[in-house]
Amino acid sequence: MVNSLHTRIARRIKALREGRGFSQQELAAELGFNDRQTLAAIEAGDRRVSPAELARAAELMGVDVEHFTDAFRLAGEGEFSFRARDVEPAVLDDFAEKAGRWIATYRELGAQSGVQPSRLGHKLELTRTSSFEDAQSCAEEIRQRWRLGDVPAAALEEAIQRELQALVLYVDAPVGVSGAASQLPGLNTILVNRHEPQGRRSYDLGHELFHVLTWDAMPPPRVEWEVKPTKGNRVEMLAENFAAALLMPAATLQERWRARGEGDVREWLKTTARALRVSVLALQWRMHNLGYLSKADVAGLATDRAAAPSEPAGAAPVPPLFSAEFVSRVHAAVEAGRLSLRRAARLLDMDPDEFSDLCAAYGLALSYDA
Amino acid sequence: MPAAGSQTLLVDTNVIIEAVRTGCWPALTSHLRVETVDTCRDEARAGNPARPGYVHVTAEHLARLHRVHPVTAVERASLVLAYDGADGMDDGERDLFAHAHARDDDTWVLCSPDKASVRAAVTLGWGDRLRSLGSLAALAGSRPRIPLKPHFEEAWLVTWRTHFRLA
Repeated sequence: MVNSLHTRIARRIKALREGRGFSQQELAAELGFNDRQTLAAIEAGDRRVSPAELARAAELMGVDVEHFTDAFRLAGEGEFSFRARDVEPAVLDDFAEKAGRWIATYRELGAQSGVQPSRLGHKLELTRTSSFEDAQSCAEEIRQRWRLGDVPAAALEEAIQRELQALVLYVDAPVGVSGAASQLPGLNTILVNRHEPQGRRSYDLGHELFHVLTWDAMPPPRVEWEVKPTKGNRVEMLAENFAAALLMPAATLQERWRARGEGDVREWLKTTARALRVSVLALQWRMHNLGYLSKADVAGLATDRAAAPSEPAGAAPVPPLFSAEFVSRVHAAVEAGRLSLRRAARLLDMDPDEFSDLCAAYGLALSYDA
Repeated sequence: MPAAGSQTLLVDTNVIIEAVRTGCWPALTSHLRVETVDTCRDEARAGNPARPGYVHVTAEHLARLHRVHPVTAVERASLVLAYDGADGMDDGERDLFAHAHARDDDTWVLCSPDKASVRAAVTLGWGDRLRSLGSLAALAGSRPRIPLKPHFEEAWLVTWRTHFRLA
């Protein structure tokens, strides 16, 4: 539906052939065509492929037939950037495939319902040579334009979806993966590991937003290994500065710091971190960068076990899986008979009963079960 | 017309599980030529035994199937090229439809109680070949000891077949 079936098949045959290093001549010969032009016509969408040709092409290139036909797969489309720590490449590949299915499902079901992807790009005027102050000032501008208020973390997810028509999903990511961003023409996606502490989730959202808004100028690597950014990793340092300024507005901190008076710094950090939905550690560094705390202050706080936990007490509950918008779209497709219940469940990597439970968690009743 | 005599009844994973759950599987498979595809047979034995409501489909249950068909890549491709919505069906449902699409006889009916299956059958011109498990169980003389879920009943099938015919 995003592309018609035959357009999709034509595009995917061409992309996979090129990816596998076949020339048109070679694949045409393997498919038993008399000349290269037959395959060229198929790839151009001028000739329809037969079932036997499609099956043969799949066999030759080592994929299943659905690789060419299934609208609920990305099949090589799109780019990912994962934020991870100590994760095996195979685990990331597996997660990328699942995430690709979620994104393709959302896109395809939207297209079936007449939702057009947004081609109106948003980007920040930043490059690798931009200063940290530039990144912080971009964050402040976004906070104001998107009306994120004094607690930006509370409004950020909804604003990203509203302003960028982007998809934000809370997911069960493998251990060590805290988040990811993905770019497709007309659909940006941010994935957040919902089991991370709230402060970490907020930071991931801000960090991945930076990548979404600067993807063309500073394409992120497929995997950002989650270590403290160093001078050699300029883009990550810009992203960290952007996220910190976005989630912890200077004016808000100034006002709260002034209101502290002679109050205990550790208590102020905990209370303020909880209010802003960020970690105590992130707030300490932000206060240092704004000049309220010296490096020695931060070092002293870090040695104090009471102030060191990155997450303040009374943490928020784990958000429900995916998002209301995403689950509503899948639920509507099942109810309309565009997606079978078993298919919906499998696309979301769950069994039919779990899918029913997921719908119920968002207040959506299924008129039948598996 | 329900399946009877020389007609073959093609069933999907949902039907196998519901027929076993409600106890009408023995009667159904005794009175009718019940067939399926590899994928549905395998799916029927999958599932999480720890889940409430899990139905344990045994090898003995599956041995009552008259035939289990493999499905080739060409058959799958043929279905997908004939019906653009095939990727909205799960593997078992899609393979069952691919098998039906490839059959060269005209003596089969199909039981696949999901709205996406009903939509597919109507689009492919097989609306009259659809059967409900409720009507088939009655034909086989079985009165399920546990009531069927509503979407396995004839009223549900009639409603949604009509809906997709008019859509």
